[in-house]
Amino acid sequence: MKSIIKLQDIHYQLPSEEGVIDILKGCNLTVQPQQTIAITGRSGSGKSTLLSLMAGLEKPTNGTIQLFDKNIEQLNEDQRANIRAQQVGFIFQNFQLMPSMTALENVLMPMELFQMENAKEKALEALEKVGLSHRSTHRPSELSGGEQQRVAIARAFVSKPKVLFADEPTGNLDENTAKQIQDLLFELNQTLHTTLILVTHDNKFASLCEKTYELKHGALLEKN
Amino acid sequence: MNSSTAHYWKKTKMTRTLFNEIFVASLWFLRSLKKGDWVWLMLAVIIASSTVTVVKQLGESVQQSMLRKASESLGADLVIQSTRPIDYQWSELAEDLGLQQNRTTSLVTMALTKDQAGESFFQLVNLNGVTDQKPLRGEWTTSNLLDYKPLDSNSAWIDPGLLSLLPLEKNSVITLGNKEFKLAGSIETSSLINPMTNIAPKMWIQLEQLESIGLIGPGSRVSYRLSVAGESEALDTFAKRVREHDNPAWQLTSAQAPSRDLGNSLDTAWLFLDLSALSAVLVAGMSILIASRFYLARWKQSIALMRAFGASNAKMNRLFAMQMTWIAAVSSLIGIALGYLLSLSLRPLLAEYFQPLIFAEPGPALFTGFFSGLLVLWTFAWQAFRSAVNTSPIHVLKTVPDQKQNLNWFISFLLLLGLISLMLNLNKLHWIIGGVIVASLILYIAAELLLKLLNMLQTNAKGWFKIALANITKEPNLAKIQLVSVGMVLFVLMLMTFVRQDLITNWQASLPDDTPNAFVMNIQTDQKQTVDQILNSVKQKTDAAMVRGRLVKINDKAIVSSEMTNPRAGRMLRREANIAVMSEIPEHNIVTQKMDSKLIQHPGVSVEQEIAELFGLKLGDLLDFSISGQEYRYQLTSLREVQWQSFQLNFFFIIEPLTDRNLPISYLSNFVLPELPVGTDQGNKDIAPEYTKQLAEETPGVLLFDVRKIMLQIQEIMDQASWAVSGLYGFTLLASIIVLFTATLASQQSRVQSWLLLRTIGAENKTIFKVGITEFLFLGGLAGLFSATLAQISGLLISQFILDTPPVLNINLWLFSIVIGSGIFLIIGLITQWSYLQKSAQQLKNFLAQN
Repeated sequence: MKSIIKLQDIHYQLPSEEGVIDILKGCNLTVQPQQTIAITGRSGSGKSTLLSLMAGLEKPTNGTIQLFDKNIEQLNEDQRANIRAQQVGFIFQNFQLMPSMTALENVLMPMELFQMENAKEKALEALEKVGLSHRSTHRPSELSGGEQQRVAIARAFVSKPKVLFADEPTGNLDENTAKQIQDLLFELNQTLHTTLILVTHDNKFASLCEKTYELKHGALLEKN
Repeated sequence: MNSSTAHYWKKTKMTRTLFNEIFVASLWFLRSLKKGDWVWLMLAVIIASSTVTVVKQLGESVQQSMLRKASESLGADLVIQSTRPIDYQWSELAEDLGLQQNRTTSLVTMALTKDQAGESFFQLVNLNGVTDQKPLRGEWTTSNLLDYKPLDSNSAWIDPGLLSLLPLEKNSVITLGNKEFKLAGSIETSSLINPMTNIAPKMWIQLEQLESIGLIGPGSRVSYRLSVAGESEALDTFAKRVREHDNPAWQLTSAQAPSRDLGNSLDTAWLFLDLSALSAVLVAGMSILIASRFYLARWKQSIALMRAFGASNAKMNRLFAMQMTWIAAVSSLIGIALGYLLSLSLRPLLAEYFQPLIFAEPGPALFTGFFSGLLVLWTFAWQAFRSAVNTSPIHVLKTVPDQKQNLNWFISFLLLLGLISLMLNLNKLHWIIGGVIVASLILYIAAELLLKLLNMLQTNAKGWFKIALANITKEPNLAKIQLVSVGMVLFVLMLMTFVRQDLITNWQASLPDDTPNAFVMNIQTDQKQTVDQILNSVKQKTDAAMVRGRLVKINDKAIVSSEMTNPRAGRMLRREANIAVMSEIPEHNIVTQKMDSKLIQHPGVSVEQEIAELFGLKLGDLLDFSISGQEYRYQLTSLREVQWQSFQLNFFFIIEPLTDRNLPISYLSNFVLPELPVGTDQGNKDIAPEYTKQLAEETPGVLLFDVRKIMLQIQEIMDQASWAVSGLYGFTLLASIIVLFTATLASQQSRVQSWLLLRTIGAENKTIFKVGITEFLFLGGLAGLFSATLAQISGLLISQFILDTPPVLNINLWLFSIVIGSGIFLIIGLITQWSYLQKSAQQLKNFLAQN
């Protein structure tokens, strides 16, 4: 089967006052379609950086990243944006909802941005799937943390992405709510046949994925 | 698919995308509008565009009304006055341009009449031949002393003053030249053109009659006038053609500047009005600078998210540029509508001050108001806009520093120049560019210094005081903008307060209450005592001895009027000038240069500065004057500055009195007559006609010249200009209040975050209150320090380069500015923050979640 993402000898350096800091030191990873992958590691180990590289948000210092057969490091910002627009979805730890928009408007936003047809129907359907159709007119400040993350999940799945990147999606939630969100995430992933790349420091959550990697001292190590 | 089909589909897709983006941007704009986002930004644009609309609409109306007033005093919009007949091609040009016109020919002649007993009486009159029965602008007032009839070929009108000089009554016959005219009425006029030269009472007959009664011949001193009135564009074209013709015998007088001093005062008023509007717009711009940072910072995270979702940088630019344009366009439309409504509501008030009120066509004001709104938003929100739309998508996962782009500053600078050019005359652009560069440098340095000062203070502070300072310095760039914006606003207000006060004081001082309003001329030495007796009850009478003479040689070189390149110099030499004979220079003249008394070798003459420049005269030059056919030599010992509009006794030349020079001295006096009686107030009879009659009877040849009406007109124009200037000042104040409010809004979120933290860790209400108050006192105080520094620098520059006075450091200004800055900011802080200071930790948390 053809891989969706392929990382080869990825290095990432950051300049600082004390000199250059090596965040990633030769990471390798291959992700197959519909696979669920978890990346764990301590705070500051570079998990979010690795996620941003895989999603094409930035370029590595060295090494090659293939995302849908395209070498990301050879593409400019707009070309990478084009791939994201068509194939990629995101879920964040702090939900990243627009405070002045209602739940429905937040889900609508990416579809409005890319002129999708029947956007409103699709958005309402997505909200229904995450069990929030009755809260569609509420603003984020009127929703609980779990509800806000459900809206974010609805927004991520509504455009039917091939790969979903989730950065600590339950990091801001209590145990019960986190469990509900985890279930929802895997359920939707299976229904919509999406590839899931998950970054978390919660080993229990990570163990639900097919493969788990740990980022340690800049290197990616497979755990099971 | 061939290439043309591919091109067609590409084009169609692009058009579809563009329309879709317009739709999405409009949708987002409406959504935000509904939720009350952009309020302060829109309010600032509304203030800017409504201020510009009101200022331009009222300014144009006031300007046109004042011009009309000046035109009525002049009897026309533009007058060519010449010593030679004015060719009829100029009348044709005026007609082609659609201008109204009339002609007047004037000369001084003797009028003869007989009383009932048959005794003859003579009087020197200023006889005017007119083509029209009324002036082009305004009306002539008919005196009720005689019945009024229109002029025909056998009739004449007289100035009411002539009634006291000649035994005239209804249907009296006056001989002028070789023809007799029947008296048909008496009319009163007041002219702002050379009021002091029209010394003889006026008479009017038809122009054809004047040309046929044998008074005009070779050597006659005749003055020809062509007056025109009409649309300003046509007038400008006409005036341009006249100036290009450059006829040395011509003198062009425009209603825009009926006299030089009045013209200068009005020019200053217009400039102040334009600058006031610009100040209001710049002040509103400061508000936009702060508010745009606040709003667009809120959008940053969303933009990063959209870019992470795959929106290109260009798409973000387009979507947000469209939203900004929506904000600018909607706010500007509201602004111009409000501005125009406000102008309409002020119209009745204006009509009380300006009669007749010419309410200008609204088109230009609405156009300028709308585009000022668009430009002011883009100018001041550009930096925040660019910074927001360029947010990297990585922001969704981690914090990365923004990249600085110097090009953005350059674009802001260009936009600012565009905005200023829209509001001020383009010919001042080089000054504007210079000013903006200097101001930008000062602002940059000031912002850096102020922040350094704050950081220093914070390092050494402790407890709640340290927290308050930390709140200000938490976002250094925001703190810089707040300090500089508020400082600039305080500075603009201070500057406008001083300049407005200065302008009004100067205008009032130019015509104080005790300004002389009447002159008596041509008093011979043997008549002086009698004149003094007649005028013994008048106030503040001043006399000056004088002779009539002509400058004929400079340093032994004869000067001839026809050789003069400057037409004004030529005109000066053709006629005799009044030369004062005085031992001291009058106090109301300012001596600008004085010769060392040891070097003086001849009797001295003091020369008015501009005349000296006109003839290239310098101290020590030898000037020969021809007085009564004899030449007298004087040495130029001093130069003087003269305020001609002051109505004091002023002369181009003042010569030293010498006993050995038997000069034909006569006297000139000025004094203060009581104000003209208003309406039909019979109990307060005007005394001037009685004086005129007595002087004519007892001292023949002595003429009284009453300038009260002219002074009244000048005073009215000045009052109107003062009113307009004060009104505009009010608008700038209003805009400033908005800036001060937005300045607190910009840092509201981080301030509330800090208070929430303090509340959470158990800080008492009193402590949070102290932190809040200190923050505002410091922001205001530092802004005050900044504005005082700017004011001091401006003051020093003005002293050094404009007023030529020694520069003075004003410590009180600094103290005043700091106290006022702190005070204003404290009040604004209390008004805007009071409700937050009372909120519980949970309520503060809710506020942060919603914003």
